[in-house]
Amino acid sequence: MSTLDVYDYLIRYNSTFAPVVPDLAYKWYVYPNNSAAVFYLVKNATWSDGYPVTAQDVVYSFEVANNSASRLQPNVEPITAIYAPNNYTVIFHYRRTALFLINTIAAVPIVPKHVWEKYVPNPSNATQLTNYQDYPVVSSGPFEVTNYVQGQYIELTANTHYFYKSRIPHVQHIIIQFFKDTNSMVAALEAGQIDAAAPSLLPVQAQTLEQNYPNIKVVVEPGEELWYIAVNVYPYGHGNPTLRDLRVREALAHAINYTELAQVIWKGYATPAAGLLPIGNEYYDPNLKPYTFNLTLANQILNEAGYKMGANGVRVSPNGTPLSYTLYVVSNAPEEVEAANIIANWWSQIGVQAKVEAVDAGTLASIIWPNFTQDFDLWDWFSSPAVPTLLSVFLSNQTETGTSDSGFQNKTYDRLYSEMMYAPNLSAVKEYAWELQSILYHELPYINLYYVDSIEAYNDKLFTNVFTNMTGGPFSDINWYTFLQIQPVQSTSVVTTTQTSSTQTSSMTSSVSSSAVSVQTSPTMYIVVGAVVVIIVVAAIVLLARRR
Amino acid sequence: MGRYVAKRAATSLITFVATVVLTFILFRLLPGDPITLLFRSPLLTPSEINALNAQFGLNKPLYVQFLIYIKNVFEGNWGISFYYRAPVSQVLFPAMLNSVILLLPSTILAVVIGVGLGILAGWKRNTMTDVGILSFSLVLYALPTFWLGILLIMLAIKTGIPVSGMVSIGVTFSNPWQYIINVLKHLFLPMITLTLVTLGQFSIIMRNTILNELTEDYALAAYSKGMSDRRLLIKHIVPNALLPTVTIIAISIGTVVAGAVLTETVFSWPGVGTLIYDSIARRDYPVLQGAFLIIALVVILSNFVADVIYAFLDPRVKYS
Repeated sequence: MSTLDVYDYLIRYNSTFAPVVPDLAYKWYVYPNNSAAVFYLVKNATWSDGYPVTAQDVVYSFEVANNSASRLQPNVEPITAIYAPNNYTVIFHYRRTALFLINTIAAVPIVPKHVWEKYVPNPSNATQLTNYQDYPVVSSGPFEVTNYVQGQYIELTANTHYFYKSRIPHVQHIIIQFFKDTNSMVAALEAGQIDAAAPSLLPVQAQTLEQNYPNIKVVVEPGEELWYIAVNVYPYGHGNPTLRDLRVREALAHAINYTELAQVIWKGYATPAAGLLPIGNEYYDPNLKPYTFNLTLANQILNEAGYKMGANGVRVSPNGTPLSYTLYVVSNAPEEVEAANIIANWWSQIGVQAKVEAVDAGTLASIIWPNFTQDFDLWDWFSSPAVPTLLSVFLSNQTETGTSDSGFQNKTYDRLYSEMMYAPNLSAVKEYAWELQSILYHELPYINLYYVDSIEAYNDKLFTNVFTNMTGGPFSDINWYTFLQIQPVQSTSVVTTTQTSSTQTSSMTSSVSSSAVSVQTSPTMYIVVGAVVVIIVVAAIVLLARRR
Repeated sequence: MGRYVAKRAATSLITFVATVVLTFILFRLLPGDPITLLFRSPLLTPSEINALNAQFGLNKPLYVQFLIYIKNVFEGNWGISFYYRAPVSQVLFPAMLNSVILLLPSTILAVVIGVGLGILAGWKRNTMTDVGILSFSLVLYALPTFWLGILLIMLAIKTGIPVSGMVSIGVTFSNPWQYIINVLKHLFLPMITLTLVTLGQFSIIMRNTILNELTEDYALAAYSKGMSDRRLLIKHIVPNALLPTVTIIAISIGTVVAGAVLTETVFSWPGVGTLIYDSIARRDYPVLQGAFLIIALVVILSNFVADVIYAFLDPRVKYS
């Protein structure tokens, strides 16, 4: 599900993220110098409490987005002025940028000023904005939130008065239930207690569903996730200094078999990575190819750079520092801990010792920020496929208290990034994005491992018109099409999920998991092996007792 | 008796104060804090980080934080959850109630079945019944909760028994009975799981104490004066053998407010066990402190009650 299912925006991005489509603004005009734009609002949009949606709400929403406690602040940064000449027109002035529509206007949900004002009278006050638990949810989009318990479920109900007639949903209620564990989520799908499961199913679960459940359709689409190894290259950090030598990083990058890794860890549901932005991103760079797996070459690079092999099989730098590192990996992803071990094994074949340590995100964060005491961290990023802003992680000012976990410092990079954000047109943005990714590819602050596919599943005997063809899959946080389009299959529309008899509803339960404890191997295998062990143990005890 | 109870009460109080202090130290020892975790959010400026630190009181020296904490504990003001932005009691108590709904019946079932099986095994010692019960208990005791839960879910898939959550969502219940029946249906699988994995300990301990009691002189004396097996067991052995079990039951009852992380995770039961687990990952100190204090308080209280009951059942402990 997406915020776009509940809130309206001025405009929405479409499924390919390139052009934008109308929402609250039925018409807009961008001035040729690309630094001012005017939006004309529909006049029949209303909030769920009956008040009309006006330009005042739009102005207020962009002011709230500009609050320092808002995660949207970077998006609205180019705006220099905003005003509403009348109740249904909004004018923006901004620093010239081609990304204005997609990264600024299509990023800010429009919230009800008359409701929020009671809680946030001053939109620039950070403290007012952070005490949000009491706000009633008043929205204007295709669905309303009619019930909600944090961490358990969200109940959406179709907004039958929605102004955008062709976008009125076909199902009355959609319930999003949260599971703690993907195995139980998939089991609930198999049992018919939910109708869809997302995000991030495991490969083995996809295979089981495909083989044994003809009513379940598994959808595999390019994902939003990148797994990488960050190398501590920060000149003022406290990691092993040999990692600041580009030749060492090149040797390490050549000593990983990306294809095999994607195959072993993700059973092929992942693509070996080269550039930073995943394959489903608008700014993915197809020209970059993963580093070749070549241990001979890697050894040769280290030999030529003067890293001599020590007696214990670990190389030593010319000034005596051994190439011996700690490779941290986040412990909530067991399959990635496995990946770290495999990588450490390849590295040991070029005289590099890496001790794998799995730690929780909080511990890893305290190791990295602000002192940069780590050598490597194996971690992931999720990035919006519509924009290249993940590249901001490598800006020099992001080290120590920012997003950077590599400590990369590069003036050219900083300049090119800022030029990209204010480029005159989208094809120029793409050129910059490719150039930035090329710099990262060659400088190797990150050794990118793979882009993981989105694996989601739903019951296609009960629902049709699921919108699958989009990065992130049918039920992702950016796919706003699915919930508006899905239709119950006629004959079964009353029998769906919940045991409702009072209200005639076709309910669609999709599920999001944040697995706290996850099992790596196939659950079926666990159960078969476990059952065999139990039987043997019981038999042994009984036989032994009988002999006595 | 009064002196004994007063002594136990004093010990309990000291234990509680020690727990209060330890709880504070323990969570400050965890590497990382809630603010460092936010560094990975895009474009958080140092001034915002300082503002957040000030808001959560994390910028004050540790001993000041400690004094504030002590003051708040005894005033019953347990702070605002960093993650939920709501008073800790508001976050904690519903989750604890959910856990009690799951754990209390499971624990009672496990105690009743476990103790019953233990008595049976002890009575029929060295027969196939004994061996059967013993191996059954051992296997259950050793079973991984997670595995058993998933196994039960797979068995239940075709039956229509709910496999996750606490109540059907999005359903309007016409009367409270329907609601209760719905919750009971959801309770079925997690309760079975918890009962199965915990009953083993009760039956093994019960069986062993029965065997111990049977070798006592008084048992031999009763036996030699012609008392029947059944009468000996019910009148003399079981009451004596129940003594050590009382302690274990008291501790088990005390931990029902602590939740059961694994079972709650498998069945997505919104209990306090998973809340604690998630709060550790989020470094949500106020919730963790609140949870640990309540758990400590309840465990200490139930142990105190057990001590007092024990003294009634076995007057000898008062003099030792």
